[in-house]
Amino acid sequence: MSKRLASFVVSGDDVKVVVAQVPADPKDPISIEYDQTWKLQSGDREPALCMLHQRCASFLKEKQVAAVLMKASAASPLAKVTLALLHSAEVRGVVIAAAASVTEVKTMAKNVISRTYGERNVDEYVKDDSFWTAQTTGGKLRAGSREAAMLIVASRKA
Amino acid sequence: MAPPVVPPLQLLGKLGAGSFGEVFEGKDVVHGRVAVKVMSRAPTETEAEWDQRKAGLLAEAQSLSAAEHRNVVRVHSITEVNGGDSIHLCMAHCPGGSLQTCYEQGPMSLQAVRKVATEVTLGLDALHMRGMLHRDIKPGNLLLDSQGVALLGDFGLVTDRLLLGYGSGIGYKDHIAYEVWSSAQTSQKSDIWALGMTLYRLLHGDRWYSADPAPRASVPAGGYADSLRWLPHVPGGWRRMIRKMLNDDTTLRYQSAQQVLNALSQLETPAWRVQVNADSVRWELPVGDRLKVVEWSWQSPRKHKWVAWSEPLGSTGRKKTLGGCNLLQGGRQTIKELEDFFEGC
Repeated sequence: MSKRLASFVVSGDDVKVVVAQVPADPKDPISIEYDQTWKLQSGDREPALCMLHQRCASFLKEKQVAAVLMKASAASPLAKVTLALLHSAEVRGVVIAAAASVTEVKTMAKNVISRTYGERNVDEYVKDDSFWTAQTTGGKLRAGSREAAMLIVASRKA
Repeated sequence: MAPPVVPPLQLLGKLGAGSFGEVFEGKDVVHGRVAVKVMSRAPTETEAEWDQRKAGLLAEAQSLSAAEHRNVVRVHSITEVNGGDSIHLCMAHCPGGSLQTCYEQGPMSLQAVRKVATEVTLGLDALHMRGMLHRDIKPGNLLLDSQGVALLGDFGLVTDRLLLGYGSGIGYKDHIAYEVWSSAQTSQKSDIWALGMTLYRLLHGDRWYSADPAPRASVPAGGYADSLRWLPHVPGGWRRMIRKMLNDDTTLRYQSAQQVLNALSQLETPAWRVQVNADSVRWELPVGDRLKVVEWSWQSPRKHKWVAWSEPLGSTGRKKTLGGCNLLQGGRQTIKELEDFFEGC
């Protein structure tokens, strides 16, 4: 039986959201139902984060997703901690909390997917048009949303 | 005789009247203070039509009651009374009242309108995802709860037949989308039109909005979005969003409440307080320990003037002129100068 999954990738104040129907047979492509970028509301961050929480929880509840896949935070040991990085982490935390209030949430690290899914790393799959033609059907998936969709694709092998 | 163990729903004072009945404050043994909408058979309705409408109301109430959302007024129960000639719809009471009151008091701030718009769009999105339509979005149907959160009320009480039928005399015909006038078919996109009209009204207030011809007279002819008169402080992003919500071409309108939410998130919200009078408009914006003030007044359509200054909020400091015109001038020129001034603030 198929199930509906949602995936989120946070970058700065942008939240890429993909929802797909995932067939039970891993050979069948996933069907894209939703692909949009949510932007954090302009202005003060406190009400903006609150609104994002409400939007995320409401959306997932109405979409009746079985689970949410979230791209995990990542930083190189040498990376400088910037305010932008911390702000992005705030947004990610709000999305995780909102999603977890509605359904099961699983965070997936990009490097782990690269090690465990297929024979190439995530960036190579993201660039490969033929891979996405084979793996997806239904609504149009924007090229910029492939990383989010990759979480769903990779979760089928997990 | 002993009083009943479970007392019936009590109707108290009248809260207001809408297109399809009157709303009373009520007291319910389970929920306490409630709002009760009393809907009765219309004089023009046949028994069969009324029965059909009652069945529809019951179905809507059942789905609403089962599907709770933070931004939709909760329906507790629906009861047939007076031998079947009336329906009592028992709903959560919203002590903040409706936004009709705010609208009548004057323009709301951009921040307040965005908050309300985002909250009710969340509710609308949820209901659209359940395959339902509102069909009657207007300031009077946006309610504030005890925490000041906006909720969609009167959901699902209007049918397409009623939209252009007897119930239209109360004023909400002004929110009917362009395509509905010819097709009589509502959709998610006609709800988005009505939301756009509602936002325009909340941003401008009753006095400004009522100075122009009623939309019911101009929308059917097309091009309504291009005829809107804007208060000069309303930023371009807001105008583009509302014009898009009011586009005659449904394919060029926002296609979903989700898209409206995205647009709302990117709007500028400078905190101008606005007061529209019969022959003037005044804006105030506190900035630190000073207050920026803009006044626009007119003696006739061709004799306008404006002036802007800042003044201390405390007792010390001097008044400083920020802009204005020295002589009386035309309205179009004045609006252009005001728009430039607000854009530069």
